[in-house]
Amino acid sequence: MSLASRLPYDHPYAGGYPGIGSQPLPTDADAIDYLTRMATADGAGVEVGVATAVDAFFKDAKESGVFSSIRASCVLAGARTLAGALVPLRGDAPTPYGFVSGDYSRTDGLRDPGGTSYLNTNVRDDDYPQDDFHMAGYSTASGTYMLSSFDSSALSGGGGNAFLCRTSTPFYRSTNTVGFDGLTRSESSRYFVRTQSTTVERADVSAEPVDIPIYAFCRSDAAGNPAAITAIGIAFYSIGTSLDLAALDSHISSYVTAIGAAL
Amino acid sequence: MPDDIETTPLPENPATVADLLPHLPVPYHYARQYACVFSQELAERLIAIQEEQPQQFRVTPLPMTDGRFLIRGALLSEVPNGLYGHNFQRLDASRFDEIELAPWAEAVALLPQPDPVEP
Repeated sequence: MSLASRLPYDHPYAGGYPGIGSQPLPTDADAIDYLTRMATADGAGVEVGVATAVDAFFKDAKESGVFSSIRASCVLAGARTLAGALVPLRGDAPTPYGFVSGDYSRTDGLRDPGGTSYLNTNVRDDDYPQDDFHMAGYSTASGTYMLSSFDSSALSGGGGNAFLCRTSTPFYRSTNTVGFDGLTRSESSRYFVRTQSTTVERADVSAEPVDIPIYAFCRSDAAGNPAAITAIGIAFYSIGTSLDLAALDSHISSYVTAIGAAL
Repeated sequence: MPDDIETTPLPENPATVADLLPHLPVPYHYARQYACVFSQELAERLIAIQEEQPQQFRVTPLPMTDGRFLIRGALLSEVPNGLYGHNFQRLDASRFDEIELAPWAEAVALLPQPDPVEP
């Protein structure tokens, strides 16, 4: 078996030259595992530039300590196909409802312009402790809901302004833009929201999480069904335990920039 | 399906999914102009088929204010052999003429307005 056929990415020298050359290549074991699973779903490996961006994300996330808190996550940009984009970075894969290949952009992420498609993240709001939780995402086109359960946890996208983290009392930001947004709680008395490159502390006592699905591209209704589906574009989402939002913002923003440069 | 591959002219005003059967899969930018609109009975049948053999890619028929249901026409870019091909092939082809193709803007106007309360 040739080296080229064994790599989870395309390398111009891997097929016919004894040396790989001086171009950086992925070395993180988890990144290579992810790239391998993505290549299986895509039917082909990604370009070296994409692979090294993935590798840098994994390394940076481990170095800053956020990696272990990312429990359910998809990078919805970089993969060759929609099926590849839905390969989970960590955790269970989401279940897509209504998305088609034409909705997927390798650089801009996933977006149904008609606003009738969504993902069930297959995470429930009460899968994580009341005071040890985060949700984060990177939006590329305006829409109301990036990630949301019902009346407990909600992360607005570029077209919404409300955030909830184990509370039914929203924090409202003053202006809406696309990019990284996140919220995290590690104690009962307060939580943090990061939006537009700024982290804001919100004094708000936590409430018990609900046994309701967390959806992407919409929110849940009280019965746990998807509601208010929105035409947001999303390039990344993450759900898990509490973490450093500024670090995650830096890592995923660098990734999105690198993907844009590579493709 | 790549938009630059087109073997036969596509119907300008297809009335039902049956009219598009010879052309499937249709290009994304053509398919997304339409909504597939059908009865509650067919919506329930579609859900039942998906539950019988769950696949990774699924659809949710959305209720319209007139009692009918819709799914996006863009799904016709992924059948009969694409992401939604498995369950499409299990549908009753004799009933495709009961699935109306409505202009997207007209159909989506009949969806209930979202709750304005955030979040």
